[in-house]
Amino acid sequence: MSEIRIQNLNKTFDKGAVKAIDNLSLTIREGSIVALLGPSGCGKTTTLRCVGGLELPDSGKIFFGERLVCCPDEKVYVPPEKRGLGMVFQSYAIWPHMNVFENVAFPLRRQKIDKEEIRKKVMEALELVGLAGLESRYPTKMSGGQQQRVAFARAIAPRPEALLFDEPLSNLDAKLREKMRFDIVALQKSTHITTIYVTHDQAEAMVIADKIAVMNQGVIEQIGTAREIYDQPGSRFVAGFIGLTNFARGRIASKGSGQQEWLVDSKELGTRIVGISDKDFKPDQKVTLSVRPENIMLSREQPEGDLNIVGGRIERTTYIGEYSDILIRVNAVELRVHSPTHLRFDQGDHVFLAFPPQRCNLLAR
Amino acid sequence: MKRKKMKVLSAILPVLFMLVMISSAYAQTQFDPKLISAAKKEGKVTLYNSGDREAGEALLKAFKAKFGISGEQYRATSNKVLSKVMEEIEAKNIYADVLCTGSPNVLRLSQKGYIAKHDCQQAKFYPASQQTEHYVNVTGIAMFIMYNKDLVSEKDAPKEWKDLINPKWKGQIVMPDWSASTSPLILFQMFKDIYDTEFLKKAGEQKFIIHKAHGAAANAVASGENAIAFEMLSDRIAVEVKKGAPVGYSVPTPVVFNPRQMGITKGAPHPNAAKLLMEFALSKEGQKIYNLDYWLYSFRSDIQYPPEMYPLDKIKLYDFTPKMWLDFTDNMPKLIEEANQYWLKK
Amino acid sequence: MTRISRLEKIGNTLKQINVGFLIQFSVSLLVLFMVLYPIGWLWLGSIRTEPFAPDYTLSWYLKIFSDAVLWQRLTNTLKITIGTGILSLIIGLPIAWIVARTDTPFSKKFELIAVVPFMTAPLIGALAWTNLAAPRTGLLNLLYRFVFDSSLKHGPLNIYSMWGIIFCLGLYYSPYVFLFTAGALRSMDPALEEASRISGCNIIRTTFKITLPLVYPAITSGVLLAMVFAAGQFAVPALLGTPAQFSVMTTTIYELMNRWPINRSLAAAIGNLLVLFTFLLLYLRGKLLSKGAFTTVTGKGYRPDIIRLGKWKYVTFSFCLLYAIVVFGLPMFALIYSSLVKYWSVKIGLHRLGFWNYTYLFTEHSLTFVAIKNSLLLAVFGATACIFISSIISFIVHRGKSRWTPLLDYVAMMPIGVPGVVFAVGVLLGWIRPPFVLYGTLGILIVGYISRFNPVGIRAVSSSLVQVHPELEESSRVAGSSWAGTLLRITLPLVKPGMQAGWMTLFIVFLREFGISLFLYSPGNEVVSIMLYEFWENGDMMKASALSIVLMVVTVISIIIMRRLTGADIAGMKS
Repeated sequence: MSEIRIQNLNKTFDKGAVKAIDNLSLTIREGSIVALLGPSGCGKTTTLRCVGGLELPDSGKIFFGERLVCCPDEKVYVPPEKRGLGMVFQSYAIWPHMNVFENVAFPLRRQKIDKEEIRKKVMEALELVGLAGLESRYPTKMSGGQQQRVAFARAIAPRPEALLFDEPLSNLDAKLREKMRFDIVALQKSTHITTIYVTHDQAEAMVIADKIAVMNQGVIEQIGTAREIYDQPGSRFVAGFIGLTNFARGRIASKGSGQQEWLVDSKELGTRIVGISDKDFKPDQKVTLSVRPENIMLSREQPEGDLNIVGGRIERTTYIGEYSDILIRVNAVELRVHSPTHLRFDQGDHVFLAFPPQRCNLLAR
Repeated sequence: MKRKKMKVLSAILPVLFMLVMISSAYAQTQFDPKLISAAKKEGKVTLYNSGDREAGEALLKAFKAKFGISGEQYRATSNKVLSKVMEEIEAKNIYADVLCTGSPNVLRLSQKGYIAKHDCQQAKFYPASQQTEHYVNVTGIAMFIMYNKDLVSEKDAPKEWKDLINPKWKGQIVMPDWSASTSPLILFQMFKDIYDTEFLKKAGEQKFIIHKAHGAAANAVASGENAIAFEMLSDRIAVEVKKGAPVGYSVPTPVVFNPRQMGITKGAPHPNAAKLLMEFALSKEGQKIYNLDYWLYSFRSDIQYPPEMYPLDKIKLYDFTPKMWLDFTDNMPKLIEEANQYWLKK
Repeated sequence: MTRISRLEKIGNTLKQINVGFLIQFSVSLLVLFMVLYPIGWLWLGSIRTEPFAPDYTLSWYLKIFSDAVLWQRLTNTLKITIGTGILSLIIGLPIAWIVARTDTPFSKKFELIAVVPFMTAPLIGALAWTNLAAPRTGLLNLLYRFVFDSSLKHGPLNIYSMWGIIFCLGLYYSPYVFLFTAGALRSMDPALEEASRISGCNIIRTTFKITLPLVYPAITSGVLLAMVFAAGQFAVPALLGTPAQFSVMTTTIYELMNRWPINRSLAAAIGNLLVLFTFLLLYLRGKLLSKGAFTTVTGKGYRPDIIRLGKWKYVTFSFCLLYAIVVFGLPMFALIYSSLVKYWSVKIGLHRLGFWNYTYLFTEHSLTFVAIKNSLLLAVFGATACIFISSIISFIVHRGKSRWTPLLDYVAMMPIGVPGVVFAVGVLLGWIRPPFVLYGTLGILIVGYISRFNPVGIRAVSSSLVQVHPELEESSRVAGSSWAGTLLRITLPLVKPGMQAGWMTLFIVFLREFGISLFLYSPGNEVVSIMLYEFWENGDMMKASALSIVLMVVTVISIIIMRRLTGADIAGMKS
C-alpha cells in the first residue's frame, strides 16, 4: 500500500491527433480513494490505464511510493504484471473458462505461496465480497452483480499495492448499483488499499471517493471533496457537469464587504448580485454567476433588502415529488428553481427570487 | 508435227495416269447420296470417343468440311464412356450417336442390345475377324514401351516385356489405371497367357506409379517425372514425339493391339448422321485423319503407312481371337481384382 | 346456419392463403424436395443390390468393412482429414494471432491472402503444386537440387503422396482457422487479457492461459470445418494421390461410378459413411459453439491490445510473407510458367516459352468458349435463382412462427455437410429416371448446384436479416402494408447487402464448381472445371495451367464488374 503520484502525464492517440491526457498531475494519498470523474472522452480511463501499465504515456512520470513505474523519457516502463495492482473492469473481465475459485486464485498463483495459503486467501476474499460457498460455480452462470463481486474478490485477494476501478458499476441496474457503491466503500475502508476509481456518474463518485478529480479534455479541472466540488465549483465546466445549475453573465462592479465577496452587475438578470469567489477579480472583469436551483428562495411577497433579489414570472411548474421544478423568466434569462412542494406556485404567477450570497459562485469567463 | 504431239502426249500421259490413279483411289470412297441427304437433314452428330480428343476433333472437322454436318465430341476414358452411355440409356435420354472406345466396351454394350446394326459399306474392307454386325474395329492401337531419353539411354532402354521385371526400374515405371482403361488389363491378360504368375508377382514388386489415363502417364514420362511407361499407346507416343519431348519407344514382341471399336447407339438421336460418320471414319480418308496422323494402325489392308510410323510388317502381333475377346470381356471384373492383387501396393 | 358458417370458414382460409403464404410454402417444399430427394436415393440405393432393383441388402456396407482395400481407403480419408485439421491449425492460428494482435508490418494486407482459396478451385491449387513439387520435375525440387545437391535424381519434395495431399488441403483450408480465430481475437473483450496482465502474468503466459483458451471454440470450429471439407475433397486426392496409389473415399466413389462394372450401390454406401463422418464433425462443432459460447459483455470498445513485438516483428513478418508466397506466390508463378511452356522438362529452356497453350485454347480447342459460356451461364443464372430461394428460406427461418421452421432450417442447411461427389451421386440417381428426368441437360447441373450450395446463400442473407429488427417490418404492417409490400419496400432493401454478398459468393463457387459437375455433365454441357480435369487426365498439364489462368482472369473480371454494378463484397471477404 503506497501513495500514487502522477507527474506531468501526457498521452496522445492517432499519432498526436487526439490529446487524451494533457500534462496531468495528481497525487493519491496512501489508503485513500480518489475518483476520476468526467464525461466520456475526458481522459479519465486513459489516465487509469497508464497507472495500470496498460497504456504507455508519451511523457510524464508515475510513482508508486518511491518506486518509479513509468517514465518514457528515462525509458522506464514496468509492465502491468510487475506493478502489483488489482483492477476491476467495466466488463468484469471474469474469465469464462475458469470457475470462481480459479478466477480469484489466478493472481495469487503468480505469487510464491503454497496451495493452502492460496485457498485461504481466496476464501477470505470471497467471504469479504459475500460470495462464500460459490467458489465452484462458473461465472457465465452468475448474475451481473455476482460477477462484479468475483471481479472485486480477484482484485483484492493478492492485497495489491493499489486498486484500480474502471467504471465497475455501469453495467448494473440502478438499484444494485446503489447498493454496490456502499459495499465498495466498506471494502476499501476495511482493506485500506490506495484506490483510483473512474466513473462518469457524479453520485457514484460522491459516495465512494475521499476526493474527486473532475476531468475535462485531458486536464483535471478541479480536485476536492464532494462538498467542495459541489458547493464551490472552480469552473463553469465543473459547475455544469456536477449537478444542475443556473448561469448568468455579468461584470465585476467592485469588491464586496465580506471575505471573498464580490459585487456583480448582471444585465441578464437586470440587477446587481453579491457573490463569492476565492479568485482575485479586477473591476469590470467578465464573470459567470452560478447558482444551484435548490439554493434560490422563492416568495410571492418581496423579501426585505434589495440585494440579490429579482422579480420573475413563472413559465412552467413541474411536480417531481421531493420538490417542484419551476422554470422562471427573469429579465433576459430563464432560471430553474427547486422549491419545497408545500409552497404552491402556478404558471403565470409573479414571484421574487432571492440568491443567498454564499451560494452565488462567481466563475471567471 | 505428229511426233511432237506424241512427245507431248508421252509427257502428259504418266501425269494423267497418276491423276486417274489418285482419283480412282478416292473413287472407292463413294458415300451413298441418300444417306448423305438424310444425314444432312439431321444436321448434327455426337461422337463418344475414348481416343485422343484432337483425333476426334480432326475427324469431326473433316466430316463437317465434307458434308456440312457439325459434330460434337464427348471424350473420356473408355470405361467412363461406357458408364456414361449406360446412364443415358437408363435416363432414356440418349445423346450418343457414334461410340468409339477401346475394346471391349462396344462389344459389351452390343451384348446388352444397346448397339444398332451398322450395315456399313466400308466394313467390307475390314477382315471378318475385326467386325460384327454391331461394330467394326476402326483402329488398332499398338501398345509399346515408352521411355524418357534424358533418363534412360537408348542402349539401356527396356526392349521386351520381360524387362518390366528388371529390378533396376523399380519405382520408375508408370502404368495407366487398369480399372479406368482396358489397355493395361489387356496387357495383364497377355502376360497371364504367355508368362507365369511369378512374372506378374515380380512386376508387382516394381511398385508402379499409377496414372488415371494414358495421357497423364505419357506426360509423366515426357516431362521426365518418370522414366518408363510400360504399355503406352502409339498415339500418345506420337503426340509427345511431335511436341518435341525427349521420348523414345521400343516395340516388344509380341505386340498386342487394342482394337478401338466403333458402333452406333440404338436409339441414337441422329442415326443417319451417325452412320455417315462411321462410314467416313472407316473410309481411307477417315482412317488417315483418325489413325495414321496419330500413329495408329488400321485393319484395312489397302493402307499406305507414313514413313515415321513403325512399319506394321515388322510388328509381331499377339493374336487375340474373337473368342478370347469374349472371354476377356466376361472376365473383366475378375481380372481387375486379380491385377489389384498382384500390382497394387500392399 | 351451418352452411353459412362453413362458407365463412372457407372464406377465412382463403384469406389466409395469400400470395405470400403460397410463395413461402412452395419454396419450402421445393427446397425440402431438392435436398431430401437425392439424399433419400443415396440411402435407398445403398441398401439395394442395384439402386433401381427392389432387392434389399446390407451387403454393401458389410463389404466396406470386410474388404481390405476399401477399409484402407476409409482410413486414408481419416488420415488426410486429421492431417489437414492439424496443418490448418499450425498455419492458421499463428497467422490469425499475428494479424489480429501484433504490430507486424503489412499484417492487414496478409488478410487478403485468406481470400485466395475462395477465388481459386482446389483443382487449380493441386495442379500448381504438381508443377512445383513433383518429385523429379517439380520446380522447387529442381531448384533445390541445382543449388544444394545435383547428385540427387529426385526429391526432396514429393507432392504425389499422402503428405502432399495433406499439405495442399492444409494450405487450402487454413483460412477457415485463420478467419474464425482472427474474428474471435478481434471481438474478444481486451479486458480479459488486461485482467490477467494486472494479475501478474506476462504477455506469453496470458496468451496461453487466457487468450487461447478463450478463442478455443473459434479455433476448433475452424479446424473442424477444414476437416469436413478435407474429408469431402475430391480433386486434390485425385490429382495427387493416384500416382502414389493412394485412394480415399471420394476418389473411390468416382472410380466406382465410372468403371466397369459400375457399382452405384457401393458408391452410395461409401458416400453415406462419408456423410455420417462429416455430420459427426459438424455435430461436434455445433455442440462446441452452443456450449462454449464464451461470449462476454464487451467493454467500451477499447482496441484489443496490440502487442508490440519489437525485433520479433521481423520473425512474424517473415512467417506471414512465407505463407503468402506458399499459398499465392509460388502457385501463381508455377501456373504462369507452366502455361507458357510447350512441354514440361527437367531442363528449363526459355526457347520453349510462348503462348502456344493459349493459342491452342482459343483457336484450336472447340470446347474453350463453350465451357466458359456454360460456366458463366450457370454462375449467373444459378446464383440468381439460388439467392432468390435462399432469401425466402432465410426469411421463413428467421421470421416464420410455424413449428416446422426449425426443420426447414435444418434440412436446407444439410447439404453443407454432404461432400460434392456424394451429393452428385444422389442427384444422379434421383434425376436420371422418370418421373424426374433432368439428366443430360444444363438443368441437372443447376439443380445440383442450387440444392448443394443453398446453405451458402442462406447464411449470407441470414447474417443481414438478423440485423434487421422485426419491429421495422411490424411497423410497416401496422402502417397498412401487405406482407409482400413489406418484403419489397422494407425487408429487401435492408437485407440487400447480404443478398449481394451471397450472390457474389455463389457466383464464384459456381464458376469453378467441380465435384458435382464431374458426375452430371454431358456433351455440350462441359464447364471449365471439367475441361481442366480432362486436360489433366489427358496429361496436358500445360494446357490445364493456361486454362486455370484464363479461369482466374474471368473470375477477377467478373468480380470487378459485379462490384462496380452493386458495390457488393464476397461474404467472408470483408476483413
